[in-house]
Amino acid sequence: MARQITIDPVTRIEGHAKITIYLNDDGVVEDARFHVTQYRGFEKLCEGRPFTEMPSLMARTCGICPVSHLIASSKACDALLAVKVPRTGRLLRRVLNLGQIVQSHALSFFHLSSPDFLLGMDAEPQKRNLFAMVESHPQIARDGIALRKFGQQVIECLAGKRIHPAWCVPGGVSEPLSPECRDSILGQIPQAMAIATRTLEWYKKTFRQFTEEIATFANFPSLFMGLVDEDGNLEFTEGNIRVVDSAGNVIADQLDPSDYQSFIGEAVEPYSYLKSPYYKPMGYPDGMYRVGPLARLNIVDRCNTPRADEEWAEFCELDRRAVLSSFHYHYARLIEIIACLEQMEQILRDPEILDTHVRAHAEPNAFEGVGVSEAPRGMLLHHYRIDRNGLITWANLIIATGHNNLAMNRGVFQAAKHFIRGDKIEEGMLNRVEAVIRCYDPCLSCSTHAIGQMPLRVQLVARDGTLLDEVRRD
Amino acid sequence: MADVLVIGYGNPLRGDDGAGWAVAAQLRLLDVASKCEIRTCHQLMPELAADFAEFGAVILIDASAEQEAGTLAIRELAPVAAAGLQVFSHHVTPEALLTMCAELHGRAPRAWLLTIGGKDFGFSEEVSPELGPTISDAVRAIAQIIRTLEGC
Repeated sequence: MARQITIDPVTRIEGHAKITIYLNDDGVVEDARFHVTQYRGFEKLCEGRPFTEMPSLMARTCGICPVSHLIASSKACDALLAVKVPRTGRLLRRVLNLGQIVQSHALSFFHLSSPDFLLGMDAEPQKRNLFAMVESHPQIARDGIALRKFGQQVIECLAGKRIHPAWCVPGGVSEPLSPECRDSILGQIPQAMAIATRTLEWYKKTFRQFTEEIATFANFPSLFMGLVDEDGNLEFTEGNIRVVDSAGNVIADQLDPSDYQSFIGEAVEPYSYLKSPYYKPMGYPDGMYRVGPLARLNIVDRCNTPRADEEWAEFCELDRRAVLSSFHYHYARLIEIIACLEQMEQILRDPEILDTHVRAHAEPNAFEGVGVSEAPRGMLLHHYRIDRNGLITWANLIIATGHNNLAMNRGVFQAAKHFIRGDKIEEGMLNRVEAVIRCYDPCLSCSTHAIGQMPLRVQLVARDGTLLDEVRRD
Repeated sequence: MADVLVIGYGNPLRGDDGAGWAVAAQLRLLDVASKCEIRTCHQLMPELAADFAEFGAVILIDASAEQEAGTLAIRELAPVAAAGLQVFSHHVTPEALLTMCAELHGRAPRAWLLTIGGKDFGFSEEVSPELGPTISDAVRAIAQIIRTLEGC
C-alpha cells in the first residue's frame, strides 16, 4: 500500500515549510518534496510605489537578511539612475554586506545547526536546541552569541540599526563613516577572528564523524552559481556571475547580471510557492544549480585573503572535483566568516574609507534596472521596471533560497530514501531529512511570514486515509 | 557606564505593542536617564544575554495582549531551571535570557519585567491615548526601582 509522510512544518529554519515523503507498497521512499507553504508577494505590492522607496520597502521582505535586500535593491536603483556610485560608498556597502553575512552565518551555524553536531542527530528535539547547548557546551554558545552580536553591531554602527536599516540608498549610502565607528569595528575584529578560527578548528575535527550524513545530504552532481570579481576571486557585493559544473569546470564566466533572463529560467511547480530557477542552457530541471557558501567556494579561483585562502585550499581537498555534499555548506560558512572578517579589516584600513563623498544623485535615467549581490544564502537578484514618473510598474526577485529550490528537493529525496524505511517513524530519521534543508539555511521569510510557534506534526497515512503513525512536537 | 539597563520592546508600528517604546521615550526625558542605559528593540534575542552580564540590573518593558487594557504589572524575574527552556533564533523570553546569562557568564543581574495591558494592536505608530496614565505610572515605577538600587 502506497503511503505518504508529511513533516509540517520543518523546524529550525527561517520561515514555514513542509516536507512530504511518498512511500511505495514496500515502504520504500519513491519521492519527496519540499513545499514552501506561504505567500507574501512583495513583487506585486510594490507596484505603483516610487522607486526611491524600494530599498527600504524590500528590506521588509525579511527580518534576518534585510541588509541583503537593501543592497540588491539599491544596486537595482543605481541602474535606474544610471550613476556611478562613489568608491567610498561602494566600499561602505561592502562592509555592511560583510557584517550581514557574519551575523547570518553565525545564526545559521551556532543557533540552528550546531545542536545537531553537538547533541546528536538522534537526540530528543527538546534536548537539541540552543538552550541545551548553553548547558552542555557553554563556550561554543558564548562564541555563537558573541559572533552574531559582532555582525549586528557592524550593521548598527554603519546603518543606525540592526534590523531594517535604511542607510543604503539609490546612488550610494546616506551618511559617511565616522572615525569612531571605523575604530570600534576594527577593535572588535580580532576577537571575532579568534572565535571564527577556534570554531573552524573544532569543526574540522568534528565533521568527519558524520560520514553517513555527508554521503547522503544532497550529495549529487549539480551546477554551482555565484558572483566572482574580474579575477575570479570570492565576491560578495559586486562582480559578475560564474557557473561551474560538478567536475569543477567553469562553463560560463563573467556573465552580466543584468542579462540574467538569458541564462536563468524560472519554473513554477504546483506544490510550492517558491519558484524553481534553473540554468537555461541545460533546460529544466537538468539546469539545477546551487548557490550560497558551498557554491561560492566551488566557483572561485581563490578567496584572495590570506587566512581564508589557507582554509579554502584545505576545503578543496575534500573532493578532486567541486565539493558536492550539501553537508559541507556548514564548513564553507565558517571559512566565509573568516574571509568576511579579513575583507572587512582591509576595507576599513583603506585611506579613502572616511571620505564624505558617498552618494551620487540623479533623476532616473533608465526605465529598467537589475541589482545582484551575494546574500548569506547565495545570489540575490532584484529587477525593477519604472514608468516616466519613477513609479514601479513591475518587479522580480530571485532569492537565494529560490535558486536552491531544485537542489533542496533533490536533497530531501536523497536523504529520505536513505534514512526512512518501513512504516515506523523515528525522530532521528525525520531530523536528518530536516537537517538536509538546514544545510542550505533557507530563508523562507523572504517569501513567507514567520509568526508564532513552530510545532512539528508528522503523520504516516495510508492511501485509504488510515493513520499508521504520528509524531508531534509542540 | 550605567549599571542599569532599561529595554522597552515590542513593535512600534502595531499600536499598543509600542508601549515599551513609549515608556523608554518618556524615561529619556527625565534626570534618571543619566543613571541607566535605555534601549528599544522589537524582540528579545539571544545576543542580549551577553549584554545582561554587563549590568547590575535590567528592567524590561513590554505590552501585554492578555492583561486588562490600561493596567500595569510589575514582577521581579529570576533565572529558571534550564531544562525544557526553548530558545528560538530571534525570540526568547525574559526568563530564558536571564537563565542564559547565568549559565554562560556565571551571574545574572537583578531583573524586573513591567507589562502594560494594551487594547489595540492594529497598524498604528501611536499607542492608545487611554494608556497614557499607565505609561506614566511605568516611568515612575522604573525611576523608583533605579532610586532604590542606588540606595542599596
